[in-house]
Amino acid sequence: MQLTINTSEAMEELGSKLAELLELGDLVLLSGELGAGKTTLTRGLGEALGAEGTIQSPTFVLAREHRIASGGKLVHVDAYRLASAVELDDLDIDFAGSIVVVEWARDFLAGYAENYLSVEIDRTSDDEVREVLLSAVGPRWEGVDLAALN
Amino acid sequence: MQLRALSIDDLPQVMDLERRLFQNEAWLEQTMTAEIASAQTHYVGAFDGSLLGYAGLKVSGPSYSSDVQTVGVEPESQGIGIGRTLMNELIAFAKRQGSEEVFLEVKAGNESAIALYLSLGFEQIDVRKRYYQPSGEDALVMRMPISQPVVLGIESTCDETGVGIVRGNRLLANALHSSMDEHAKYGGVVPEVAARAHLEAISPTLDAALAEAGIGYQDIDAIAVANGPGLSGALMVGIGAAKGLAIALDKPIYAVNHLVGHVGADVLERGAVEVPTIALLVSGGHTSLLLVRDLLNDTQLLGETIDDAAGEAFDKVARVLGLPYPGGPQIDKIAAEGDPKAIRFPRGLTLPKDLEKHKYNFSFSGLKTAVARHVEKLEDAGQEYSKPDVAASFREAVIDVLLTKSLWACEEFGVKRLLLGGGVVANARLRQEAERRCQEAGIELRIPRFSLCTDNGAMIAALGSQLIMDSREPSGLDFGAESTLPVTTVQTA
Amino acid sequence: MLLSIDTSAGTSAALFNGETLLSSVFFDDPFGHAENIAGAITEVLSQAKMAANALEDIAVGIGPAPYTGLRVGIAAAKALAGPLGVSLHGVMVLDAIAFSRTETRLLVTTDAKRGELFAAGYLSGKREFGPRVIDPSSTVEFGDYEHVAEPADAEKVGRYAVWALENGIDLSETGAIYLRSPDVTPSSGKRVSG
Repeated sequence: MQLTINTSEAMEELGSKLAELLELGDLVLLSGELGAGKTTLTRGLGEALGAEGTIQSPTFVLAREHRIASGGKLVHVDAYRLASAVELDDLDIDFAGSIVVVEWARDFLAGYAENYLSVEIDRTSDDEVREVLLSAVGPRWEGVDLAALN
Repeated sequence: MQLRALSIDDLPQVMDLERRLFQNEAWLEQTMTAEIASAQTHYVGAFDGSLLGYAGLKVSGPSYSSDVQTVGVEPESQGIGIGRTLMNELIAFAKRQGSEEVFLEVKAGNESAIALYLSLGFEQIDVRKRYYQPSGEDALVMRMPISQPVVLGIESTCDETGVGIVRGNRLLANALHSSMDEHAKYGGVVPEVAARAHLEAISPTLDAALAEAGIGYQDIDAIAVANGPGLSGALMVGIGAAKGLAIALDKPIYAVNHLVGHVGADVLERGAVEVPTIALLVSGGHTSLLLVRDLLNDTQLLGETIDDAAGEAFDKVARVLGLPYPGGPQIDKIAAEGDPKAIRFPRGLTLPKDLEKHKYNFSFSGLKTAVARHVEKLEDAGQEYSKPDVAASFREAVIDVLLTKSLWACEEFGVKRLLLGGGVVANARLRQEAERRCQEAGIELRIPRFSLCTDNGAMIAALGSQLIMDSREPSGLDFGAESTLPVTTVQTA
Repeated sequence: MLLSIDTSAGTSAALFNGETLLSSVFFDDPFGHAENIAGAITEVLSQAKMAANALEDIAVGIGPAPYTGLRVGIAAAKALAGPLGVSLHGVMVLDAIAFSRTETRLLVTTDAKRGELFAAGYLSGKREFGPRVIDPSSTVEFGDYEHVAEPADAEKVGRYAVWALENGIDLSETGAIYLRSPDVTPSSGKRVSG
C-alpha cells in the first residue's frame, strides 16, 4: 500500500496508527535515506505504545530498548553498521517479547525473518512530502488489512 | 514539640528569644536574617505553639566541615532535651552535606552546654581567650568527627570502564579504562566491543582504584553501580561485578542513574551539592537538559534530543567531511581555522512553531542533513569548498542551540546556575561560549574537571554516597540493566 | 569449599564440599542474568548455611556461549574472587557437559545463535577438537559420535572443576570464549541526497 505523507506530524501519526496493528514478536523493517523520517515514524509508534523514555536515533548505540505499556519492549535498531542480518543476534534481542523496529533495514534483512512489515520511505522533490510504501510478508500478516493505516 | 526549618517569617520570634537569652551579646536582626536566608546554613526551631529553641549550622563544602553558629533554648524549657534534639538535627544535616567534622564554640563557664556537647561526641580542641565581648569570657573550641561512608562506584554504561572511590563527598580515586580507540574503526561505539572490553578491564580497574585511594576492600562500606541509561550488554558487566563485590564484602549495593551521576559529580569539586541548577549533559549518547532542584528528590528532564545526540552529530558530520572518529576533536581542530559565520546552518527546534512542544528538546538530524547536502551539492558541481568553514559553521550551530536552550531554562525557572557535563565539554569553543553567555546573563557556570565530566566511576560512587548520607535503603540484589532509565529514577530499588 | 557459577544458558550457582554437592540453584530465564546472578549465589550459600568468606575456590563457566549473559557470570566471579582472595578457575562449558556423560565418542553442541552451534568432540573423556562454531548441517559428518545437545549449568561446571583441579588440569584461563569477532561493518560515507 502506498501513502503520501505531507508533514512530519503526519509521519508521527502514521507511526501511532501502526502501533494498533503491532503485537509483541513483530518485526518492522524501515528503509529510507538519511533524514527521510524513520526516527519520526518510530517516535509516533513509541508514543502510541506508551514507550518509556524518548525515542531517539539508535545509530550511536545500534539498539535502544524501551519498555512499553503492554509489558513488553520496543526495540529500536539501526542496522546501518551491521554487515549482515545474523549480526542482529549479537545484540541479544528478545524478539518474542518485543516489537522490533529496524532502521536501515537493507535487503539482507528481508530473508532473516519469516514475518515482517516493510516500510519504505522515499523523499520527493518537495522537501516535506514523503512517499511511503508499506508491505507485509509472512503468515503473521495474512488477513491483516493495512488500509487501516490510511 | 515540633522541629522544623526556620524561615524569615519566624524572625520576630527568633529575635525575641535571642535578645532574652544573650542580651547585650545578641546578634543584630540583620545578621540573623542573613544567616537564616543563606544557602550555606541550616536553621531549625523547636516549637510548641511558640518557639522554645533554635539552632543554626553553617556548612563549608570545600573544607568538608560545618560550624554550629548558635544554639538557644527558652530558659523555662531548658533541661528537657530540646538542646540535644536541636544539636542532633544539626549534626544529621552536617552529615548529609558531607561534612567530616563539626566545630562549635561555647562559653567556658556554660557547664550544662559543655556536658551536652561532650555527650554528643564533641571534644575540646582549643581555648580562645576573652572571645566573648563585652563580658570577656573565654570560649572553648570543640570538634566532633563525622565518619562518612566509603563508597566504591562502578560505571560501565558505554565505552568507559570506571571505578571510583569516595568518602562522603571527598574524591579518593577515579580509575578509568577506555575502549574508545577500539571503536574508532567502526565509526561509533559497538556495544559488543564495549562489553568485551569492560569484562577485560573490570578487575584491573578495581585494583587501580583501590591502589589510588590507598585502601583495601575491607575499608569499603558500600557499592554503587550505574544500572542505566546505557548499553545493556555493557551495563550488565558492571552490574555483575558490583553484585559479586557486594556479596563478597557483605555490603549494601546502590543501583544509581548514570545521568544523575553526571550532575552529582560536581559535589566532588565543591564538597556539597549546589542547587538549584540547570544541567546540560552532552556526550556521544546523550543530549539532556535537566532542572535539578534537589539532586536526590527533584530532578526533572526538561528536554533531550529527539533524534541524534550532539556528539553523534559531530561524528556524522566528521564522516561527511572525511574525518575520522570520534568526530568532536577532529571537527574542533579544523574549525579553529574556519569562519563560524560562513554558512548559516539551521538551529533545530528553535522556531516559534517548535517552542510549544519542543522548547527544551534538541534535534540535530536536520542540521546534519543540511551539512551533508551543502557539501554534496558543492562536490557534485565540482566546486572547491572550505572544510574549516563548514566545520566551524556546523559547530557554531550546535553550540548555539545547546547554550540558547540552557539559558532559556535558567531564565524561565529563575535558576542562576548552569552545570555542564559529559564528554562534549572537552570542546574548547563550547566552554568559551558558555562562559561568555553566562557572564552576560549573570549566571554562574559550573564545569567540573574533565575527568569528572566524562563517564567515570567517581560520580557513581558520589551519588551512592549521597543516597547513604540521606539514609536511603540500599537496592535489592535483583535489579537489572535499564537501558532507557528515566532521569527521575535516581535509584533503582 | 568451591562455588561454581554459570551463565552460559540460564543463571546458576552450586556449592561443593570436595565432590559433595551441598546446594544448587538454577534460573532458566535466558534474558535475566543480571537480575538473577546475585540471587543464585546468595541462595546456594544460605541453603548450605555458609558465608562467602568460607569459600576456597570459585569456578565459572567461560563459554563458548551467547555473550551478554556469559559475561555477567564471569564479571561476578571475578569480583567475588578478588576481595575473598580465592582462586578463580575458568571452565570451558563444553568440557563440563562432556564430563557429565559416559559415552566414548561424544559430539557436544550448544546454541551459538545466528543459526549456528558451538561444538567440541571428545574421545574417552579427552577433547579431540573444538571448541568451534559449526553449521548444524555439518553434525551429520560425526555419525560415529554420540550427539549431546544440552546446556551447561553450575552443577556440571562445578563437578568438572573439582575433578580437574584434583587432576592437575589447568583452569587458569578465565577470559570469556567468544569464538567470533564482534564484527560490525567499519563505516563508510553515506550519501543523503541523490
